[in-house]
Amino acid sequence: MFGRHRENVAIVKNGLTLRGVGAVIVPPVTPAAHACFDPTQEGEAVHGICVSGDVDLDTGEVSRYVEDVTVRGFTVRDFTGSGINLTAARDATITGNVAVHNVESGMAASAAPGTRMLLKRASGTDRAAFVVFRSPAVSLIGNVAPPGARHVQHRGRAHRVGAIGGRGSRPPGRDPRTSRWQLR
Amino acid sequence: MAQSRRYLVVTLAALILGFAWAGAAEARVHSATVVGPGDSIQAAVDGAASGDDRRVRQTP
Repeated sequence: MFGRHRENVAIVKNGLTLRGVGAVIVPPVTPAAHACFDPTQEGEAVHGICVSGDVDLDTGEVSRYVEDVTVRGFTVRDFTGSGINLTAARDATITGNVAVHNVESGMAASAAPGTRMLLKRASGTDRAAFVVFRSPAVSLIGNVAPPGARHVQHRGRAHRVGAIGGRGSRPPGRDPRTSRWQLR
Repeated sequence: MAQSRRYLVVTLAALILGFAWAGAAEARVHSATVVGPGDSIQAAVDGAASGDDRRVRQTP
């Protein structure tokens, strides 16, 4: 189809930068098996772009963080998981991406300390536009989520824009470039 | 005289370090790869070394 890559992508190496130049990523007919997707697990969600270190999914214990990965400029849509998912990632930068109609969330960071999510838009998700779990020192800056929805889910709680941190947060409709959420 | 030689050695060492740094920066730029139409993003990611830059262009 015009302008689309049909892939579910996993990044497990430190320091990698992945830039989308007008690239749109949609689910493949048969998702690739890799660190972020195990086809033997029935019903497992498929993420669009996944950044993952090594983590014990039963205990949550991280044995290796993938560090300093940047994902920039993609549109990721229609995945059953998150558009962009970070697990056991440290100091990742997710910037200038658009996530549309991904079932779990637009962007999720779990056990991902130091994540910086900048100037991103997420819409049409069944859960929260942005999910942050067990990830200290995360910055969400200039992101846009649909009004009236649960925008950020942090530590198991859903927050509306402007309800977190109080450091320059802005509700939807205001200049997204000045919106800043600092999660601790 | 000895002091001049010392300055010369230090200057040469600085120049060599500068060239080495520039060469490393050049190599870093060359690590960028474009993933074109029909190419696999995952294959490009798998083939990358740590610190590499992968660009994915829109499929026509």
